[in-house]
Amino acid sequence: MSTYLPKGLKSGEVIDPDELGDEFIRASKVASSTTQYQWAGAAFQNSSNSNIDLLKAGTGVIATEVSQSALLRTGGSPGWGGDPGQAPDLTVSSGSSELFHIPYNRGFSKITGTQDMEINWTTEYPEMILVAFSYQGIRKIYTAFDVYSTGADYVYPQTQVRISLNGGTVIGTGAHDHRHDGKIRGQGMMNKSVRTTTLGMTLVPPGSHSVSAEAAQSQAYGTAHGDKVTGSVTAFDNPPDEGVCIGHRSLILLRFPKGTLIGG
Amino acid sequence: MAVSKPTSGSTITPTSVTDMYDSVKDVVNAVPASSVGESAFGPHTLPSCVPNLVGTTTSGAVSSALTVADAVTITKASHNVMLAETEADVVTSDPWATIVEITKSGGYTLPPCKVLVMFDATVSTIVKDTADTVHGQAWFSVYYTVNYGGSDVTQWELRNMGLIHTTQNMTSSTSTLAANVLNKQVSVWFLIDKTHLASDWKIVNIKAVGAVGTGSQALSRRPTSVTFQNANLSFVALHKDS
Repeated sequence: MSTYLPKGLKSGEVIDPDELGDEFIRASKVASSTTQYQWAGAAFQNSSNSNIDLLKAGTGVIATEVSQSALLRTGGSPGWGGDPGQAPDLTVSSGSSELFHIPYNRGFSKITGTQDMEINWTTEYPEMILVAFSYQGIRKIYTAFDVYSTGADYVYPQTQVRISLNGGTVIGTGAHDHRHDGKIRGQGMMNKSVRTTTLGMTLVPPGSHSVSAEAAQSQAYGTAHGDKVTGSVTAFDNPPDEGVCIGHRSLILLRFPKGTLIGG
Repeated sequence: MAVSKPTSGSTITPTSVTDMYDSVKDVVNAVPASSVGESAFGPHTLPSCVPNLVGTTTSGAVSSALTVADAVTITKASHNVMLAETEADVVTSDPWATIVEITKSGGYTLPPCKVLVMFDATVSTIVKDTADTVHGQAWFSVYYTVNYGGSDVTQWELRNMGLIHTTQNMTSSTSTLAANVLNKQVSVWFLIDKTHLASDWKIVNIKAVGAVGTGSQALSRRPTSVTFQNANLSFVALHKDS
């Protein structure tokens, strides 16, 4: 912190021109290397109209979004008893072309479509970022993932989602997990559907950055009947190459340039 | 700007003192950009990233919430109107029921800006038909109405819809457990971009609406109702950044 503390002159003191000059030099240095401590709160704001901040409005946050919709076409397939069905059409052949079919057992893939779920930017200063991914996760109901041809028992795919920053996971975003012990629990979502928002905050240094939303299907474990997981580790007879999908989705990035406040 | 100072032993003149004073004055009165480094600004001097509602000192951030006690139970059925997933299905021809809404008389007047909308809720129960304890859906959609100085304009976007399924009744060794309880958390977040506008605009309202659907089952077996609890609908405006 730079502060100006004038030594001053005492009554009766003989003035040393050098010391007197230093008073002015210190004052000049403080003014030339100003820090936040020289400025009062709201010093750069117009108290009567915040829309004309003396600092450029918007420098406090930069908001960016990419989004993609994908019809679920719930009326597209017949239901039991001949009435119009409401089961989402999640096939490649007749479902929405904007559905993102999550690859099976191939790790995380960027969620693509007409609008890829990716935002790139370059910053001159360190930033704090908040990134949110709001999405519809949906899969075919259990009959599509039979283990046995009788259809008596089923395996549910384990869907995983994360937000990636420069290739690494933004801590706290999910649901995702990399289990190395073969356990069933905690490897993603078995739900038939989910509509949620996952978000994380982190810091980035100056430079070029990329955030993207990614999804994966881990190997599916556990034999289930209905909604009850009753069995042990079991693999698919026919790995689902379609029908485990991301529907509507929005990737939102808020950037808060913070300078040395976080840059050190 | 360097300060020229007299040296020890020299004679101090009014001019030498005045020159030093003027040197400092020039620096202070015209701080060059190169002297205002990134360390010059702290949180107390940076302007808020949230603009005020125009003509007020109120920040452009509003929230409306339901508690558990305020739970909204919806019996509105989507069965016959969900064939296309359009604005007409949700808003126009046979409007879905309101879960939670942000609105006020005269609307919220904002400068050109971006607005982050956040809807989060719990779908606590889907009461299934007695003949079908497996299937059932809860649908919801978030949309908003704006005004640019003329008539109100409803802006509905497909991307801001949501669907979740119910679960099959679970049973223990002795009884059926909470057949209709679901307690699934749902969320829809999105940005409204009005930075292209040349003048102030209004958010008249933001609504989250919902309906029930049948799943892969006959119309006659659609769920009776869906209940939303702890719904929270908020918006926060962000200063124009482009």
